[in-house]
Amino acid sequence: MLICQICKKKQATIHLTDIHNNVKKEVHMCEGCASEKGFSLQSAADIPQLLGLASKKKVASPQAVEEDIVCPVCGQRWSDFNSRGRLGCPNDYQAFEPRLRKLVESQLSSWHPGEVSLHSGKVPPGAPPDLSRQLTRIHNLERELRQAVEMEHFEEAARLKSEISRLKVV
Amino acid sequence: MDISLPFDPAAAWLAGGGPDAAIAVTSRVRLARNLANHNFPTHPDQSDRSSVLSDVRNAFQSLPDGDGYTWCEIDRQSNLERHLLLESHLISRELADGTGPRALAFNPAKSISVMVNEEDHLRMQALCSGLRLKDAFASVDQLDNAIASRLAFAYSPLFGYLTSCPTNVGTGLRASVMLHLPALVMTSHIEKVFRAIYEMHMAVRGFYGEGTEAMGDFYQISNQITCGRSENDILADMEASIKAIISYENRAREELLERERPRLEDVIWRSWGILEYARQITSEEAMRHLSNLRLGVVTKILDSLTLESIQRLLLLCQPAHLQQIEGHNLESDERDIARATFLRGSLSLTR
Ligand SMILES: [Zn+2]
Ligand SMILES: [Zn+2]
Repeated sequence: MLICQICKKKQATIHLTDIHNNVKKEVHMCEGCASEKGFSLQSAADIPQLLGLASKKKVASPQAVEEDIVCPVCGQRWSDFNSRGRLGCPNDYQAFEPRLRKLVESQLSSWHPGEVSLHSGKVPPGAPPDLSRQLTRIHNLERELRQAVEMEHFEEAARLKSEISRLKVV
Repeated sequence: MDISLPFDPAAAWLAGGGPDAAIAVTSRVRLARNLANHNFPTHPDQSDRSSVLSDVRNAFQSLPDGDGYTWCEIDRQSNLERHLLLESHLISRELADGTGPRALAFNPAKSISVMVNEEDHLRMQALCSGLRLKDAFASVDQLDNAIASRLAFAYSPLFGYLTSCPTNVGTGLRASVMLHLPALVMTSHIEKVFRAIYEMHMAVRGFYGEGTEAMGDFYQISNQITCGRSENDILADMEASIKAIISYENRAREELLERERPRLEDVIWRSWGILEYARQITSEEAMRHLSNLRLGVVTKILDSLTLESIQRLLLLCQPAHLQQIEGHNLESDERDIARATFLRGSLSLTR
């Protein structure tokens, strides 16, 4: 059972995940400590505060001198996102693209930074056709192929090879 | 299409059943979607909320009549009504206790529900009993297609579906399975399981979702990573991990039955005794004992109850449902008395 990070005694029944200063953190607390810290589920803004409690020292980090950016559509600042953990509008993904990309990539354990597309799921109707998805798929298969060869899984490697050449033709 | 309470708790998932129903209580798949060209509901300026609400309402009204969605404006419901919806797993605590224009749409079987203006403009979820993530995804996927042909969703080829919190970006898919793991708790293996779950990039959430408490050995397991992979890959991975946990719980149950049957029977019958004779019982204590009865039913130590009846009792002894049965508001200590009376009555009927 996970133990409460604050009192270190009771079972942690409240589990929070949040992103703050580009770092994803998890906090596990018992109910008593959570309510003592004035944590309410309504405001996500409380989470960074709680995280702040878990690690009090605020040393100047590279992020601290990071230049602030404003989304021209909704007026949300990068610093707002850092403190609230929530974005203002869909355009923020464009306004803060390099930083958000880094952040999202860091959540993916099996991810190789710089890959063409982060998304390999469903596409809404009418979305522009996207060649980068095809490229990502090839990219991933090539990585699997290298691994298969290293592990001497030759049957798997042959299968991957033929799939890659099939995709490249398309 | 507006909701008329008293609220009827009959939902398809309550009937139980489905693969691995002895351990997997419910499977849920939720998709987070936002409308293009509108601020997220979490933006400090809330002026977009009303137009989002009416756009979504129009989209639902234009669905084929047979879909029969009920539309319920949450900010017009009483506190009791909002909590009935929360306890029925139709809305989140965040939507129940939030502020501003927000709504819920649900189908007649209450197997699909859509929250409007929670953290994202749309949170569409399908809920079914047992381990049936693919079925749940199929029904929410179908609704997603229907809504996507009526409203433009915020999407980018790079990030996928854009969400208010980047932890949901990509597929916007959160799959959760509510597992009943009493034997792993009794045999003190649960901590190991939790650690494995975190290592497999899944999270354990409480009974009513994120940030809520786990109760009565019921744990909600969900995926952490929503992008970089397809919906089907995420679901297949989840299902494989959940199946591993289920077989672990099954083994713990078999071990208890073989080696510690008297202890197991004692735990279950004591819980029966408390529920049949208690005069005051908190929701937490009731859930703990009902959880033991559920274990009694699936191990066939108890034969006078069914999984469905336990699931129903678990729901009806929650604060809002209890007040709904009693027909008026109850203070916390009054609720404990009413709950004990209700449970006593229900259990004595089955004998
Ligand atoms: Zn604590
Ligand atoms: Zn913006």
